Amino acid sequence: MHEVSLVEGIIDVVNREKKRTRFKKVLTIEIGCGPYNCVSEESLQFYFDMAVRSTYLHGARLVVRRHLQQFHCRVCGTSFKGEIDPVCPVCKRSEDVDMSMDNSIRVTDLEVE
Amino acid sequence: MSQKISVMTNILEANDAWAEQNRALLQKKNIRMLNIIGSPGSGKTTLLERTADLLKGTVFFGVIEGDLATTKDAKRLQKKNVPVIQINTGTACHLDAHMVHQALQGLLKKQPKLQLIFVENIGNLVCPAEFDIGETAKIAVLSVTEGDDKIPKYPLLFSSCKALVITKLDLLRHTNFSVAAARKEYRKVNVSKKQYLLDSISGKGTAEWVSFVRSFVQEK
Repeated sequence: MHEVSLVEGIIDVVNREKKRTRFKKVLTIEIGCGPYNCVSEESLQFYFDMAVRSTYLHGARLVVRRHLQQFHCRVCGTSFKGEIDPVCPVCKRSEDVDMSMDNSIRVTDLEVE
Repeated sequence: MSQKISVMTNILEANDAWAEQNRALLQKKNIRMLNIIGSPGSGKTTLLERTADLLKGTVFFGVIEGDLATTKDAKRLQKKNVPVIQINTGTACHLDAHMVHQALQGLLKKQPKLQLIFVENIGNLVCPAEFDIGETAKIAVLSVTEGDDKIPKYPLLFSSCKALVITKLDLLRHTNFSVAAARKEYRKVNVSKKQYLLDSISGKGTAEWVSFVRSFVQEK
């Protein structure tokens, strides 16, 4: 359900971008987030399509790209990147891992015409 | 010809700006705010009722209640003489920072000496974890009847909370909830690892939780 709020945010960002860079049509909107964010591409697209019917954004495709999370092993000190449920690549432990908390969801790129 | 534009803008920018305003207001007034997040029926309101009994007379605190509908929870806490503001979101599955901002103003009018605010978020393990409301910290509430597998299933909440409160401990023997498994999973995703096992109705384990809350209010 929170996809509705996310979609509002996305439309807002693209509208502001349109004022700066004049374009007529948006082909793709790329969304970047971390592996822990509750963002479903299908669900976002569903609400987005409903919200932008008969606007210049009609037909735009949303692509969610998840970047890897940064982790730090508390046992051997190795820093590494991974997804949910990380295992340290050096000491193979999974329980003593810190992670950096960047949970922001961003519009990263637009493909426009 | 299509062209690519790099944007890199946070889509929750508007919410986050309100959250920062809330945070600044709380800091100025030296108030701590705990964002309480858990499933519907996990025992969030009952935990707050018990907490209210134990904190009474020692800390000035208030509650912001979030529900889709009704003022049932607010009424329960009003019976404890706690200043409460109820937010009804209608259809929204989470509280956002702007809603909380308005409630915050209302609560400050009711109790100008506030030191601590509990925000009981909408019952949901997903959406509330995604929206910053300007809280000082998040508290995750998980009841033993929900199962110990919820921690790895909802990693955003359980990794970003300051403490985990496991409720309904008196029902433990009727469930297959493993405290050891929950602890292991929690330790995997959460850096602070603070956890409290309690039963809000009998009061078992609540003293430790309340002592955490008290020291949290005093923390600089």
